[in-house]
Amino acid sequence: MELSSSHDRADVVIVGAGPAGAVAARRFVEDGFSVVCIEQGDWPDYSRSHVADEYLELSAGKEWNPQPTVRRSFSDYPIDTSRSDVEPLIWNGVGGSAVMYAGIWMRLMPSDFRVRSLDGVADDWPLSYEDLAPFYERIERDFGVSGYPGDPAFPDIDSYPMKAAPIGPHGRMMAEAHNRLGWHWWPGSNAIATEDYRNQGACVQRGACMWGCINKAKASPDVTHWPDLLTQGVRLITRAVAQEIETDAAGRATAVVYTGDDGVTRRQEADVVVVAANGLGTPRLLQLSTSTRFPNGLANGSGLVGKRLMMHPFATVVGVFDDKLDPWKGVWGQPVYSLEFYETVKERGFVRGAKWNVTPTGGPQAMTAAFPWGGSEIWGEGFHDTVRDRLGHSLAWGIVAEDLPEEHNRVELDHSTRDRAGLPGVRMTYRTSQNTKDLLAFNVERASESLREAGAKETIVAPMIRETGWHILGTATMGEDAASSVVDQWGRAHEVPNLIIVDGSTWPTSSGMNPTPTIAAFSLRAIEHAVTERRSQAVSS
Amino acid sequence: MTAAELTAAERSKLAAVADLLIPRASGMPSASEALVHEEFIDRVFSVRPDLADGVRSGLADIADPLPASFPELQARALPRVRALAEAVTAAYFLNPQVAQLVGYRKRSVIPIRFDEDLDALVSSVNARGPIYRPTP
Ligand SMILES: Cc1cc2nc3c(=O)[nH]c(=O)nc-3n(C[C@H](O)[C@H](O)[C@H](O)COP(=O)(O)OP(=O)(O)OC[C@H]3O[C@@H](n4cnc5c(N)ncnc54)[C@H](O)[C@@H]3O)c2cc1C
Ligand code: SF4
Repeated sequence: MELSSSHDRADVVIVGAGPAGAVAARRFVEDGFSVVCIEQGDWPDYSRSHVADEYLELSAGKEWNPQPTVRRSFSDYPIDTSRSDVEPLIWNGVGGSAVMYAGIWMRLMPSDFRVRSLDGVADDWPLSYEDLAPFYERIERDFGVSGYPGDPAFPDIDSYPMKAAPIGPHGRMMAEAHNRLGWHWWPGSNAIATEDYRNQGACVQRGACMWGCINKAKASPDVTHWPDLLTQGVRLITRAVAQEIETDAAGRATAVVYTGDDGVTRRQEADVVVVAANGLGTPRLLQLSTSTRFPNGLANGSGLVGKRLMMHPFATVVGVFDDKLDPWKGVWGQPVYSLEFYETVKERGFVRGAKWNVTPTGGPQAMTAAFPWGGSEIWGEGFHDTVRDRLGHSLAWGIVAEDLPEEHNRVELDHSTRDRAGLPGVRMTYRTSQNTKDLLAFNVERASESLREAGAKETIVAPMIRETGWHILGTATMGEDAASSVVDQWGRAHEVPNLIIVDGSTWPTSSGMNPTPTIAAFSLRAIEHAVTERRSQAVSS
Repeated sequence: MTAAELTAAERSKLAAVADLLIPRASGMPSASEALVHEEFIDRVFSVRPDLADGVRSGLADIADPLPASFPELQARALPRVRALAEAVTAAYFLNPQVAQLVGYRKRSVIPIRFDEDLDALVSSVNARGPIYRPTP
């Protein structure tokens, strides 16, 4: 391997410029650490966004598609999904997958951290809701979150930086239906600015949040973090693929080896290595980092690196109404959500539950798609009437189901494929369990009931589709015991104390919530701990 | 001619097939009346050149004589027709007259007016009290 001379040694090197990496960079640089971040992709190019023109839906099918195998950008590494029920959805570049996310903003509930104690399955987290709560609050300010405080589904959400986005006629209709049913609902919390806020512009309700928000109302780190971090001196190296984390004889991480855009391989040395490459990229990098001391991959003494993959199987139920609702005229992610069926109720015959959010169905082209409308083709004589029935008159409940950790669901290196830097791609194995299937079936029934109560003249249970792997969790699990986990509650690898993993791969269980707030809060807590520790070491030495 | 441009023969076949998919009905023009096979398929390809191959092969699969109706086309069970149909649909809705008739052309700017009655709307949710299980 040709290794060109590295740039100056840094205090910290971070792999990945998504939410987890950006939060880590900000916390380190605030305390005066020198930080280098290595990111395989580039900045998002909003000049190529079509959110304001008539090509929105066409562009969502390719360039602004969250599926790397469809998008095929230079920064996408090969992923073999032939053994998976679900396709992973990610974006590789500055801002990470949050460039494409909907901005739905949910904390976990206390029970999510105590699944073993409360429900007798899987594992407890080595930290509690209360441990994370102060960090959620700080992260909500950094990501410019809007919402309506006081949801009784959480112990203590007392304020949000901004007022909630309008819930729209569609959100209101579902809210009123749930009030009649006596079921929980709440105005949506979203990482979307409802007024001008720091680097974010006020939302203009285009409902195009996942396809390149040109108003920068949606909080993705390329908007909320990176411009400031660059000013503060963080060195962000884009188009650079991290290929290995090196260690010394004592087993401490010493450097990240990466291939730059010029094809030259370099070594970035640092005192601390932070991995924030998401539930696929993190196990991949650890598995690539083999040595005599770590023959099965870095920090993999437990054998769990890559295992326990969880991806939140997703269901959708659509309602078609007589009323004109035009649900795309607002935020896309969640005008309102419901946690009525989130907690375990033993009589239901399964453990854990799901979170629902109201979501629009889209413009005319989307009215003709196989998802969520089902397989029967609508062209021919009935075409216009079907479009007229659905367009502006339909909405859906999106149902995010908790799946439990199982070791056979996993991410491994795939030596039969190579990325642009010559590194192996990954192979995913992921099958949905019976508990999850039962849980989804129950929630789909209840969601249909909810829509009927709201006045739906027709409800359609969308076919299960593969393209729903928005949340990739569990592949470098956290725990107290080095024999059964990869990192501790501070994200520190049990076997490599100066290696910190801060993304969703650390999750022992998946919850049924959209994960980014918890990924970001965990990253902040982990790095704050690292900063405090290093300060106390500096003082004592 | 670029790879994403159709030949005259392809365009005339597209016009005929597109009318099976989207006929004139319910006060709406047919696909060919909406110039799907001309300006608007070209506009689809201007953003999505990758769709051109699917349209071409979808058309090529439909052997002469052309089916007389959509059910007849469906009966031929040609797997690549779906991609063709999706491109035709996208082209159809790009036509501004069609857009006007269905009441949707593109997303527009809507300044935020906050809901002022949320307290009242969530009052029954609050009245039921906490629904989470506390940390044991
Ligand atoms: C379409 C879509 C909708 C979503 N909606 C929501 C939502 O509404 N709410 C929510 O909470 N979550 C949502 N998510 C999930 C959310 O995007 C992720 O939880 C979040 O981005 C995870 O942050 P992260 O920093 O851990 O990983 P990522 O954001 O994925 O960032 C990882 C970064 O690491 C880089 N990287 C990986 N490997 C290497 C390497 N070897 N070398 C260099 N760089 C590397 C990648 O290029 C990437 O930029 C959605 C995701 C998608 C795709
Ligand atoms: S609705 Fe708001 S956040 Fe979404 S794309 Fe429009 S301006 Fe951006």
